[in-house]
This record gives sequence, C-alpha cells and structure tokens, in this order.
Amino acid sequence: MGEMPGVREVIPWIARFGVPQASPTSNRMDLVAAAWPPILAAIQGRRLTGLAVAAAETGMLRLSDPQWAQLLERHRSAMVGAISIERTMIGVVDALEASDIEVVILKGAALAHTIYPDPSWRPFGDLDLLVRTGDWRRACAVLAERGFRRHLPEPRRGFDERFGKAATHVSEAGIEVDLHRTLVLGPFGLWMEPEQLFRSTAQFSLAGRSFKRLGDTQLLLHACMHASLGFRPPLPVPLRDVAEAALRLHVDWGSLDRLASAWRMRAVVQHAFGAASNMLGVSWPSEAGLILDGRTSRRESRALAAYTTGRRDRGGTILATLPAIRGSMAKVAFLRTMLFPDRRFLAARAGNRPPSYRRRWAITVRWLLRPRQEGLR
Amino acid sequence: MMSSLEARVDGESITLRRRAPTLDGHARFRRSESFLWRSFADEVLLSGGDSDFRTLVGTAAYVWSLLREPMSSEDIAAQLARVYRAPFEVITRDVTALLRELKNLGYVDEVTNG
Repeated sequence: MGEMPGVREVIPWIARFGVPQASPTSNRMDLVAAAWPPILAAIQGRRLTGLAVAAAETGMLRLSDPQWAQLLERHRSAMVGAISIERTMIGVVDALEASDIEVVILKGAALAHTIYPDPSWRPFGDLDLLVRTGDWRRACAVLAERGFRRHLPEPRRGFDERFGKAATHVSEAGIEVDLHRTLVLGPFGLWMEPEQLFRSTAQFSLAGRSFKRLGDTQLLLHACMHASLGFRPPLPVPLRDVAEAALRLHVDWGSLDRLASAWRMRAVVQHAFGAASNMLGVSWPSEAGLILDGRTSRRESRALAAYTTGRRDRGGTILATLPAIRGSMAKVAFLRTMLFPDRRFLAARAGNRPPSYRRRWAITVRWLLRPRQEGLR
Repeated sequence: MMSSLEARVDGESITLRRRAPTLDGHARFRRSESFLWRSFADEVLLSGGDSDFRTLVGTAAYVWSLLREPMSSEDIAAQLARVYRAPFEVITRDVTALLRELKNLGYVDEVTNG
C-alpha cells in the first residue's frame, strides 16, 4: 500500500492543476484517507482553495463529502474576502481619480480577472495599488480621508519617496491597501523606473467599469519579481501567476528582455521561470529563450542572492540596497534611517515591548556576525 | 447535477410558486454588469452592494450562467426542461419567479433592444 499524500505532495499538485502547457499528468490525487486538517490548512494558507475546488469538480482531486464541504466553506470565505477587497478597490480608485491621481491595480484583482480562466481560481488577501512617486503623499492623504490608518509610520520624513516601496493602510473593516510607488523593496526597486510602467498600462473590467493594470509584458515582469523576490522559497500562487502570465498574455519577449536588462532583472526573471517550471512542470514558448538564455551581470546575481538565499534572513535586502543607492549623501541618509528611525516608527515596530534603538542595532550586529550559509537553507 | 428544479437564493427557497408570474415570457434578461460576483462549484456568490452577500445555488446558479447572454424566461425554461427533464410549464413558472426576484434585487437587467 502506497504512502498517503501529505502537504508536500498535495500543494504542488494543486498548484499545477489546469496550468496551460504543463506536461500531461493523468495522476489523480486521492485525499479521502489522508491526514486532512493540515492539508486543508495549507490549501487555505497558500490561497489554493480555488484551484482545489476546480480540481475536485473535475474528479481529479478526490475528497470525501465532509472534506468537500470544508474545502467549499474555506473557498466561500476566500471569495467573500476577494469581493470585499474589490468593493474597497472601486471606492478607493474613484477617490484617487477624483483627486487626479492615476492609479494602476497590481497583483490580486488584476491577475484574477486577467490571466486566469476563472477569477475564482485566484483568491487574494489585499489590494495593491501603484501611484506615481510624485502623487504618493496625496494618495496617502486620500486614504486617510477615507478612514484608512497607516500600519507603520514612515521611518523618517521623505524616506518613502526616496527609498520606500509601499505602505500598508488598513480600513476600519480591516481591509489592507498596499499603496506602492515602486514594485519591490531593495536594490531592484531602486534600479527600476516605475514611471515607465504608467506609459504602457492595459485595462480590465469589473462591475461594469474599467481599471488600469500593468501592460502584458510589464505584468509578467512584475509577476516574476513577486515570485522570486517576495518570499523564500517562492510560493505556489506567485509561481502560478508567472506561468499564467507567460502563457496566456501577449508578451513582447523582446521588450521584456530589454526592460529586464535595463532594470537588471534578467536574473530575477530566470529565477522565477526556473522555479515555476520546477514546481508546475510547464514548458515555455521558444521566444522566452531570448531572456532565459540572456547573460546576467554579477551585480544582479549578487542582488538576487540577497533575496533568495540565507542572506535574506541576515538583512540581505537592506545590505544589498546600499550599493544600489546613488550618491554618498543618499547612502548616509539611508543608513541613518535604518539605524536611527523616528521614535514613532521604532515604537510601532516594537509592538508591545518598549521601543529601543539598542535592540535595533543588536539585530544588525547579529546579521553581520552570523556565519554565512548562503544556499544551505 | 441536480435531478429536480430547486432554485434557492441565500440557501432559502425563494417562494417561487406562491406568487403569480408577472413577467412577459418574451422579455429578455441578462446579468447586470454593476455587481461583483464569483461562481464556483454549484453556487454563485453575489455582492449585495454594501457589505452583504447573496448566494445562488443549484438551478438558480445554472440560470445565472445562462444569463451571460440575453435570454427570455421561455428560452431558459426550454434549456432547463432539456437538462432536468422536467415539465416545461412548471419550469417556466419557476424561472419567471426567479427572474423577477433577481430583477428586484438588481442582479439582472431587462434587455430592451438587440
């Protein structure tokens, strides 16, 4: 008798269900006798309820009646969450546009309604909006007027526009809006030019109106950034986003290569495609060879390692940011903020403990003293 | 698939047969575009506009899937009669009641041209 499938087998299997151009699999997944609670928790935690429901409907994923009922209940809850976020999105976008702030929807709703065969396959837990750096302050004020509370204060006045990626704002109902001015924290966020993203947007429709999203090629690049740089190791849904975007959108592979080269992100794209291919078993269109076979510089590979290896846990992204900052005065300003943030920021980061600069500095010392174990974890 | 017609909104039978149908059987309807919704398994989750939600299950969810194109209650009843092998007259009455309910809630629009 074979071993019962566990989380390690089930999660990639579900992530792979219905993916375009995957190598064919006839293997069904039978979970009737499996240890279900941890599997259900993992499906929900990794936002895979939609794919799991779709797989169970086809009969490829076999569940008992109680398992099916529990999965459906979790998925219903995920969809209530997604629709609630979309409701918030409509109000926030209206308010921003009324203030003449151009806004682009990132990730969640934009991906669910653009690259997936059915939006219910792609649950999401927050709203990501991109605004121009020049509009950043006003956009924060618009959110505050609508009752949103910023989760963490700015570390120092002016840090957001200079070095920041996004700030999380929370509504009274608990819905989180990540207001972005660039797409990623750290060196890659500084090397890219987010203003360019506004020149090639596309539209998607929802509730009878249209919203801006990234253009197809830029959307794929962002999906790669999120998959490679967002979490270590990459999570299944961001990898699935990469596959869906690469295989369903009208990607201009030449433009993608030029953009990734200019923003030093070829290594990021190659890493994301490699991880997606490993987990999902997809094969890429031949045109993707342009970027997948392209050369990457040592500098970008080192920066990528700050996100994808053990360096990440030792302040890798912060340490990798320093060389990417232009000008010694700017580097000093960044370092000063890291070491001496405003008291309000320090207090918010400390949570229930008393705010302490010494504790903050001790973390930095630990990063520097801990033995190097790149690639081992 | 269900073997009999059991249209429900929010898990409750929506008293389909207690009210006399008043819709013109030839009037055509389609989903309103102004709502947020998701369809999965055998149900449709509809945003109620503010913070509430409604669910269509069973045949009501199937009717919702048909309403992506403009359809009259007779068109829908004919489809359902084929799928569920149920009497056309009974189904027409139930579908008319369901459409009226959905129209009252604003989830479907009457199509006036084309």
